Amino acid sequence: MKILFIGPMGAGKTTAIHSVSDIPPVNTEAENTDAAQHSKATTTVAMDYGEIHLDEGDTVALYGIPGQNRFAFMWPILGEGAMGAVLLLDHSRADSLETLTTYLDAFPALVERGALVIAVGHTQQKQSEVLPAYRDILAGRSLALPLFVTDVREKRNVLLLIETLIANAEVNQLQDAL
Amino acid sequence: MNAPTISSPLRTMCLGHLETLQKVDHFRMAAVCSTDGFPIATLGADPQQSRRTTAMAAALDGLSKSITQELSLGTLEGTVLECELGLVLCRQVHASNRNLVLLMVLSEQATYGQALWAIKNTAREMAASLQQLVEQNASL
Repeated sequence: MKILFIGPMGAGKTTAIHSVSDIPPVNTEAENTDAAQHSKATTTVAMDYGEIHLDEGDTVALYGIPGQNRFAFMWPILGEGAMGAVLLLDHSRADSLETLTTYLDAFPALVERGALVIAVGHTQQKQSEVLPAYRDILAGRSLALPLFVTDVREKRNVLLLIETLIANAEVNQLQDAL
Repeated sequence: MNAPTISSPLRTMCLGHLETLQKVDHFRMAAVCSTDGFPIATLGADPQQSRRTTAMAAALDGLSKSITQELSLGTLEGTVLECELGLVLCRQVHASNRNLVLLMVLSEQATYGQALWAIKNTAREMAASLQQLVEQNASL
């Protein structure tokens, strides 16, 4: 099973995979020379990779995309065969709502299948204060995708996102079968 | 989004070395970019194409480094793509606090050995020039 972590630079994709991976994650970090975009020292330029090993012997493969638009050519390459994606958004950025729209447009197949969980991070605010604006955008597209406020530094939070994604996929499969 | 500002001495230095590569038989294009994919200097490609190509070069370089590390093969020196219609050579350029990626594309008639020698040599000379610039200007 393959799950993608998508979202803009600095949203926490690499951190999320580090938080839950049962193997030392594969990173492709390079020096970040674009301080105007984000102040972090390094940035992912190709992919992140981690794994979760399930009790039944199955493996969940976790792939993180490079978030900057100039690396968008990597997105379909990494998205091939993914059962779904966790979209991480950085609420501290002024353009976080536009970013949601950008990623919904960039991954239409996942959106159409309902194979997307949206997690809003980098905020101390309550869910009730943060989520309505994001929910409005989803409602404007007649989408009812799982939406959370989260901190991906916590393993249990990332696991919740993944479990929600898998549960949603199973429900969608059942509905398709009926 | 605008690319970060690249200093003129850095661009001039890189262009000078790319002009050396341009003399290689069956040269198509060459570029120097930051390790996170921003073009610094390009020969043989328009700006739009060079932005795409350098982003891809940085991703190739990053992935190549990860494979090298995963297999405990020391330091990555370069990556070569052998394609039906040409060669793509990617090379690391190291200085003390600044690394760059050098990319050269040649058409199918190119000689592999000559191309490899040329890019290795240029990367080495560019690294020396880069080191000099870094020492002159720490904020490069």
